[in-house]
Amino acid sequence: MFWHIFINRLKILLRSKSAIFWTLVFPIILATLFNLAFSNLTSGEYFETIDLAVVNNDNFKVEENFKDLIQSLSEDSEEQLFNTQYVSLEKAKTLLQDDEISGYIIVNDKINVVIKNNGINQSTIKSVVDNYYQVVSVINNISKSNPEAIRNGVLEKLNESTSNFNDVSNENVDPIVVYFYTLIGMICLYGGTFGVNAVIETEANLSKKGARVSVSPVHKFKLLLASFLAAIVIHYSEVLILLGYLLFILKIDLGNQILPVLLLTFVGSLAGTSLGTLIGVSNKKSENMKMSILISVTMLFSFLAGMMVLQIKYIIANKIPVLANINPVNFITDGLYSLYYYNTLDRYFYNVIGLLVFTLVMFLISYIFIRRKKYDSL
Amino acid sequence: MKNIIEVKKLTKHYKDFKALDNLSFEVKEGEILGLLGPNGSGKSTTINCILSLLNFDKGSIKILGQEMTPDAYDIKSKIGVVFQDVAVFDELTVYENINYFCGLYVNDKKIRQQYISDAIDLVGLKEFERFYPKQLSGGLLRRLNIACGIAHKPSIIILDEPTVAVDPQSRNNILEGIKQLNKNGATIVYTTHYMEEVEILCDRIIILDKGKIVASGTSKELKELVSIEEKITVELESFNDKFLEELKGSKNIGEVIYNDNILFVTYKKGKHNLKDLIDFMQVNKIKYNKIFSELPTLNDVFLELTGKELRD
Repeated sequence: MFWHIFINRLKILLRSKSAIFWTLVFPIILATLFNLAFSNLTSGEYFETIDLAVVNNDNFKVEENFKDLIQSLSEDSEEQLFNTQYVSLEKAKTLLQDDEISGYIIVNDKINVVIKNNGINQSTIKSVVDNYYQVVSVINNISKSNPEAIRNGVLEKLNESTSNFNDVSNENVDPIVVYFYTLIGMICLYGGTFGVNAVIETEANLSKKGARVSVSPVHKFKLLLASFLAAIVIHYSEVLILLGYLLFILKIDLGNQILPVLLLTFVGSLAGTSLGTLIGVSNKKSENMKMSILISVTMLFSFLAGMMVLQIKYIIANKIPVLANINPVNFITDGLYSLYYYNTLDRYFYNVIGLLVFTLVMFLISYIFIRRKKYDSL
Repeated sequence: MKNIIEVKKLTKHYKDFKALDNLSFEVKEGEILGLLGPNGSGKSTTINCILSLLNFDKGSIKILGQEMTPDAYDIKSKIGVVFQDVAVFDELTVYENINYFCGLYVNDKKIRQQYISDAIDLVGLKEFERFYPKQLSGGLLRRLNIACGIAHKPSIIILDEPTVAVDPQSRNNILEGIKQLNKNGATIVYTTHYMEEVEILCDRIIILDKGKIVASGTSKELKELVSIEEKITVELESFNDKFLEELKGSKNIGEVIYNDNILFVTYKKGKHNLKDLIDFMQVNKIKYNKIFSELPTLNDVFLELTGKELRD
C-alpha cells in the first residue's frame, strides 16, 4: 500500500508541469541569467590599468620615495595599477585634454592630482597619493616622537602589516558565488511547492481528492509519509540537477567539500518541504493562493539572505541576528559559505542544525492541524 | 433485512446555522435509498457525517452495527464514495486514476487489474483508458469519478449527486451502472435533487428540507401523501368565465386555473377524470388543440409538504 501510494505520487509530481517548471526549469533559467549578469560584473571588476601622466619636473625627481612608489605601481605585472608616462606639464595637460589619461600628478610644494572628470580611476589616483601622504606622516611622527622605534624595526613591522593586508585581499574570494548560494537556498525552499501539494491532497477539508483519500481505509500518516517521501525524492533530485548544472555547466566553484554540500542541500530540501506543509495545512485559501504565499515567503527569505543585495545579508547578521537565525535560506547560504571559506566544520554544522530545528518546528506546528481527523466544515 | 447504516438523532450546526435537525433513518441491506432535497437541505452534510469527515453536535451513526469513526478502517474498506465534485488527478490517465484509488483498498495487483477492468466496463470508458482527465468531456469525467469511487467493489456505495451537469447519455449510463451495482449486491445511498432519478432508481426515498426529514417511503407511498390524483393541462382556443365557474363545480375538482389559453385542472381523486373533462368541453363546444394528463410527482409531494418547489 505504502509503495503503491509512493510510486503514484512520484508519477503525479513528475507529470506536474507547473511544479516542475517552478522548481527545476525556473531555477536553471535563473542560474543562467545570474551567470550571464555576474560574469559581466566580474569582468567589469577586473582592474584596467589606469593611464596616468606624471610631470617629470625637478620636484618629482627629488621625491625619491614617491618616485619609487609610482614606478612600482607601474611595473608590468598582474598587480600593475598605472600605465605611467613621465612628461612635461604641457604634454600632461594635452594628454588630459585629449582624454588619453585619467589624470596627471604634479609635484610642487606638495603632490597634486589634476583630473578633468570624476570617476573610479581618478579616485584611485587620488587615494594612492593620500595613502602615500598618510604613510609619510606616520613615519615622520614616529621619527620625531620615538626615533628609537625606527631603529628597533617599526618600519619593518609596518611593512608586515601591509603584507598581511595584501594576503587577505589576494585570497581567492569571489563574492559572486554568494549569489549562487542564495539561489541554491531559494531552490531548496521551493520544495515547499511539493509540501503544499502533498498536504492539500491528503486533507479532507482542503481538497476533494483529500476527502476521497480520507474515506479510504489508509491511515492518514501513512498517506502523508508516502506523499512526503515522494516529494523529497523529486525535489532533492531537482536540487542535484541544479547543483550539477552549476558545477559542470556554469562552472560555479562550490568548493571541494561536495558531500557536506549535498547534506546541507538535502536538509534544506526538507526545510522547504516542511515550510510548504505548514503553509498548505494552516489555512483554507486556494491552492494558488498558498503557492503565492510560499513563493513570497521564499523570496523574502532569499532577499534577507542577500539574493538581490548582498549587503542585506551582512546588515541583517549585524543588526537583527535573530532574523538571520530563523531564515532557512540564510542557513543554507551561510552553510555553503562556511564550507568554502573555513577550514573547520563548526559553522557549517551550526547551520545544518539550524535548518533541522526549523524543519522540526514547521512539522510540529503542521501536526497540530494535521492530527485532526474530523472537521467542522469541508 | 438488516440495517446497514443507522443514523440516530443526528444534529449538526455550522456556527448558528442548523444544518441537520435531529435526523434519524436507516439504510437496509441491498436497497437503494434516495436522499432527495433541494440544494442546502442537508444531503451532503448527512453523507459527510456518515463518512466521519464532519464533526456533529449530537446523535450517533452506526455502519454494519459498529460506531463509525475516522479510524474504523474495516468499515471504510467496505464503503465506496462518489462525491459531488470530480476528484481525480489531472496528471494520471483514466486507467491510472482508477488504479490509484482502487489501490488504496485492494493490495493484490492481479485482483486490482480485474476490478479496474470491471469498473471501466461498467462506466463505459474502455476507449478512453489512456486519456487524461482534461481530455474528457464533463459527462465522461463524471463517469471516471464514479469508477474511482466504486472500482474496489464495495458493499456500501454512497453517491452524492453524481449526475450534476451531466449530458443525458452519460446520465443514463451512470444510472444503469448504479442499478447494476445494486443488482451485484451493493447497498446504495443516493443523494440528488433530481426527482426523476430517485423515481427511476430508488427503492425508498427520504425527502429532506432544512436538515429535517419531511417525508419518507417508496415513491408510491410518498405520492399518496398529496391530495391530488391527477393533473390535466389543456391548450384552448377560447374559454370564458361561465365555463370556468361551471368546471369548478364539477366533481373531484381541486384547482382550476385559466391563463393565456391554457387551462390547468387538478383532480383530488377519482377515475376517468380526463374523459369527464373532454366530455365537458364537447358538450360546451369548447375547441382545444392539445390536452395531456400527468400523475402527481415527487415535486408535488415536496410542494405540498413544504410550500416550495424542489428546485427553488
